[in-house]
Amino acid sequence: MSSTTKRGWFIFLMLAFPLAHFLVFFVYININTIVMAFQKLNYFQNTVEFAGLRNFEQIFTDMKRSPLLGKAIVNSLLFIPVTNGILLPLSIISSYILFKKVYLHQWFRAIFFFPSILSIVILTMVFSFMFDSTFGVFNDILQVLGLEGWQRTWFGDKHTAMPMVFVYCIWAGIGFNVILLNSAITRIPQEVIEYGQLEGVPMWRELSQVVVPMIWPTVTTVFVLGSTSAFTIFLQPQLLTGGGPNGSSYTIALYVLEQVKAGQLEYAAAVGVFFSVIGIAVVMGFKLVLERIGSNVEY
Amino acid sequence: MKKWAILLVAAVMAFTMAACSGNNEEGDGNSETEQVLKIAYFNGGYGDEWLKGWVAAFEAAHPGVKVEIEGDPGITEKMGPRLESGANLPDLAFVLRTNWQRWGIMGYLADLTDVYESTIDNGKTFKEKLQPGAADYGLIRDKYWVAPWTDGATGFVYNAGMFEEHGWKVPETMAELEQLLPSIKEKGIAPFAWGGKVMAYWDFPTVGWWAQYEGAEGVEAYKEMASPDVYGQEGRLKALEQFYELLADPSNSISGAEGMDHIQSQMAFVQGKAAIIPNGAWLENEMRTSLPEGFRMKMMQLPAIDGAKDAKVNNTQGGDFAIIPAKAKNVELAKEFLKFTASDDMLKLFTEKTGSVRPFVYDAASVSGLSEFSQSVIDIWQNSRNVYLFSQNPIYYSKYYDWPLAGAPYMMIYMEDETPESAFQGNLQFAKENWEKTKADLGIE
Repeated sequence: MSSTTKRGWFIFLMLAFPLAHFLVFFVYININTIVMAFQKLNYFQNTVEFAGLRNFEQIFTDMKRSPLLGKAIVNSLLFIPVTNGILLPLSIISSYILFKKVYLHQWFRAIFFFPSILSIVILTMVFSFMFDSTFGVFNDILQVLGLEGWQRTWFGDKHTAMPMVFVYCIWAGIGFNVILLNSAITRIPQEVIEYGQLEGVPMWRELSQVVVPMIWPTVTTVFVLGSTSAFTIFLQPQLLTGGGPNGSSYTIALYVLEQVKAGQLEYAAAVGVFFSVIGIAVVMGFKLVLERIGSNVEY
Repeated sequence: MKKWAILLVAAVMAFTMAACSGNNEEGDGNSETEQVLKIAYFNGGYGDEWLKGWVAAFEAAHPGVKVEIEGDPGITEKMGPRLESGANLPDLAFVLRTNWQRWGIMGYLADLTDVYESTIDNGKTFKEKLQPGAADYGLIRDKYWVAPWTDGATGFVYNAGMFEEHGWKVPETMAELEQLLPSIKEKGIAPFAWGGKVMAYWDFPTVGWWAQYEGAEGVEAYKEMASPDVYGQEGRLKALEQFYELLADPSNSISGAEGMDHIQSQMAFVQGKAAIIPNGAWLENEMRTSLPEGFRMKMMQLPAIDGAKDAKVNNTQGGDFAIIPAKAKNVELAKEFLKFTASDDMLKLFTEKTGSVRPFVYDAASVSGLSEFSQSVIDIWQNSRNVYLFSQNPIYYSKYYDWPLAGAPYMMIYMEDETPESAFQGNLQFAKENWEKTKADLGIE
């Protein structure tokens, strides 16, 4: 066997598994889902039939009649400003603070990274214990501060359940973002930073006019990932609130999951396809806008 | 060196792919004579002692058979994908109530008609031994696809020690229960523990009130689902109104109930923070490790709603079931196991290990060593009109269930986003408007 053939075999073997994985778990699954979205099960003829757009019609019917889907859409869309308007700036500031090696920066690093290495089940459990209405430390703190009027059933109150999911996502998500952003900041050429320091540039200006522009591609990536979560997030509300109370903390992905559990597979597939198309358009739109705003810095 | 590296990579890949394929070949057993029966089961409120007891008895009666069990609290959700893919299939599975009809129609399940027709003991067939209300649960188009697994009593469980200590009479009507509430609160105890994350637990008393109000005929008419008017039965509205009457006053509930799950609310109940909890026959078994020393509880006969046609009703909440996948490795052996578990001895063993019952006609009360709670459950189950709320109409089991508009409205009513009247009317209106379209969608002529 020639060395070229051997090399070819080696490349083939190395690619075979990921390719097979991609074909089965991405291509096949997604094509199957798209096909299913246009089908319905005939309970009397024992057949799966072509349903045209009826499953998609049902989405619009449910939007009008069922408060659940409407709440799920609003909550999911709110993830975009929460992840990009609150979590992303917090992550950038945190990354910058770690980069500047402020006092106790190593301790902060551990605090930020800690949630990223724990299972979401453990994290949500710890978080729900903190805010538990009967034995949670947060309500106790409010009591000590004389703010009993602020105490509530944080995950059981329709006004606070979804905000609590957002707070959890910020608390648990900041570590992952900081990992990405911090590594981008540390790659900024030292002379650029030093030049600014020699010019006496204050920290906030260094952050906004030097660091952020220099790491803009990474910021764009984090922004896009954060926007994507609006259409994919389900475990967090499922584990924290179960989507309740009264559906007030449902998300689109959790709605799809519940439809699957209820055996409405074709409808669930249609909802998934419908919101995927919207999600792709929204996320790609954001990406194009961000790429135009900032330059693709190379160094 | 390169050759060895390639061989190593290939071996790793082959091993990984084999592991992912999840085929059932491993179930063939270690020797030529040994048969391995794989059983998956919902590992939850009933624990696993009942299944281990059955397995030990089955293996003793069937030399050469080894039974492997797989307990999983999430088995019900996982069963659909496993059946569809045909991978990693058990030979037999005990799962919670779900839309199994879809699995039957899609051809994923083995036909159990021969099991139903088999003689089990005392000259009775499997079907003849089943409770009348549960006998045709597994039937679609003249074939049986599932076997009923659990039965029981649901409604209100009360703290028996607390009731006796304070001299509270166990209420027989809802009027008596409502009169009792101030006395409970005077002692600094909340009348009810419940969890906002599991509002469906309010189905236990609410369905019972509806069945009390409508009587047996009304329940049967509902199950037929002949027209959308069944969603307009007055008993449905009365039951919702009764629910709201109990919970409208926040002091009737434990603090923070809205955010609790079933375990948290049950924990509050066994800790004596509440006197009553809407729950079912599995409660004692589920909380066994958390029961305080000397804690006593009982299930009460569901207090009768005002205007009840039939006061002694039990909402069994039956509907959990056993299936044999059509592609299972050992279909016949699994059928043998199912038949085996329907014998009087195995039915009593189930009661002994769970403190609850199966939907068969047998003398559950004769099981020795039952707790006070289990005895109350069996007493209610044996002396009430048991309601098995499932319909064989596809409109019910594939689309509408009991609340076609947006699921059970308990939390909406509790939070006063809806009134009992608006929730009732909304569901009726939806059923009327969509009935014909739903029939067409389902292929019903």
